[in-house]
Amino acid sequence: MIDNKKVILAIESSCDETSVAILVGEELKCNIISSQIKEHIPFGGVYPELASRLHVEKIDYVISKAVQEANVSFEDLDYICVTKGPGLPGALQIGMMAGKVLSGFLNIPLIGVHHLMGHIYANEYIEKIKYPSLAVIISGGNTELVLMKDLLNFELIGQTLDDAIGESFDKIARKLDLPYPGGVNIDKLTKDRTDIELIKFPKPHIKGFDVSYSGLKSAVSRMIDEDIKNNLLDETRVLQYAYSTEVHLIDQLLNKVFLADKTYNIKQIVFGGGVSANSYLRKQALELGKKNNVEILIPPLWCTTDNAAMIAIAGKHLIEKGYFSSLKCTTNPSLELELPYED
Amino acid sequence: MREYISKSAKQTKQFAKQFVKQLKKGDVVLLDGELGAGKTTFVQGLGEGLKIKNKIISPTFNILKIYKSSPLSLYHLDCYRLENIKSDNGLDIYDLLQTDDAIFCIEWSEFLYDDLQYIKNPITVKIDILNDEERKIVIYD
Repeated sequence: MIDNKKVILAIESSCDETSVAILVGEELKCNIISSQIKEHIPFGGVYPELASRLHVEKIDYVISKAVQEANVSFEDLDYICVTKGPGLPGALQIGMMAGKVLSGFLNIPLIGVHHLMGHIYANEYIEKIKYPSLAVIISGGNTELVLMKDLLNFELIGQTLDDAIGESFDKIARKLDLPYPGGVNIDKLTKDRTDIELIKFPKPHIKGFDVSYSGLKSAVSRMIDEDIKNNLLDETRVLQYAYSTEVHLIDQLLNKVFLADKTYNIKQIVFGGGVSANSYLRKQALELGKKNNVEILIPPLWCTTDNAAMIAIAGKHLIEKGYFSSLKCTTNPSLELELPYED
Repeated sequence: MREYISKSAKQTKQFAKQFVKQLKKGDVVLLDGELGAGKTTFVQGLGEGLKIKNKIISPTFNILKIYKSSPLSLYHLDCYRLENIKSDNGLDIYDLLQTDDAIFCIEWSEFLYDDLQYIKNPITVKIDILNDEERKIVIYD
């Protein structure tokens, strides 16, 4: 165990949030997030070149603000944790550069952290993960089922064969003319509604613990086109599509999650990533958890989106196990979830 | 121009696996087809032909996914998210195309706008939806 007074500064910049957190022992002193979502709205998605530019503009400010808010000085820092990947190439590099400068200048260790480890260990801001655990990471770019037999032991047992779950939400939402980000807006429309009629979409039969969403996307997209042609796409119909999309995307995922639960005799299922904020998912996961007698851990809403607090807490485990990076280390936009990774 | 009718996603993949044999380094394939036509499925077939071990999934979120392999790597780009960005050189496409030993596959290339000029002699593959399962694949090279 590292000394409980040790100070970690963590940086996350893999996509559209510039974030810096400071963790002292077990206590999260601050988690500053500068979100770029507003800047990306006109583009209907994250625009990589703009994301990099905004990270450059904001990173200095976010670091100073974090140090200030945590009431520490740079000399107090003991470790620097930075997201190494996966993510947008340019965006990752900016966080890494800042991390290397701090680490080199202060002469303290640098730790490259896998972004998805962050999403998994974010749950430990509520409670310690119990093993064997099944981590379900769901976001705009990820749909992964990861078996964890022990601390920092990751085995990818299932993933999407085509589109990520959040991406599918966004693409169908766009087809329905709902604003970006699509998943959030579908949730807003359907939340707490019990009166929406479900449209039956084709259900894929995929082996093992993998999921597939592109067939659903094609089918729904063609149904919507047909409705537009026949002038049937009114408000009620949009609502039906939104609700049915949500149910089909999430049910397919949860079927695989609870199949894995049975197969591996899981103690706890932990969720992570932006889509874990979805109300239908939260409700269904908790209900099915109760029915299948398995504990469900869903991160607090503040920790479902990208932030540096999650990088700090995952980084802490890496420090304790001795996984350090050198100042020559590189970012890796397609970093695989397995340890140790290449410097 | 060549035409091919695919009766399933599996056949589309098989077709792409054969098609990749005629590609050489530096080639750019522009993939056209509406949402759900099977563009990523086609690229999965290219990947099989190039003996890429990683699973090829949609690059929409990251816009670019790079699959290293020998002798040819695969650069898979998706411009879907760039529709409303009408700025030049947003993707550094010119620099990207200087990469040696790779073939490039670009989905939604119409959203590259002016940057399309940097792509010399692309091969266009158009996938049309005929019905639930069947697709017409047209190659313009």
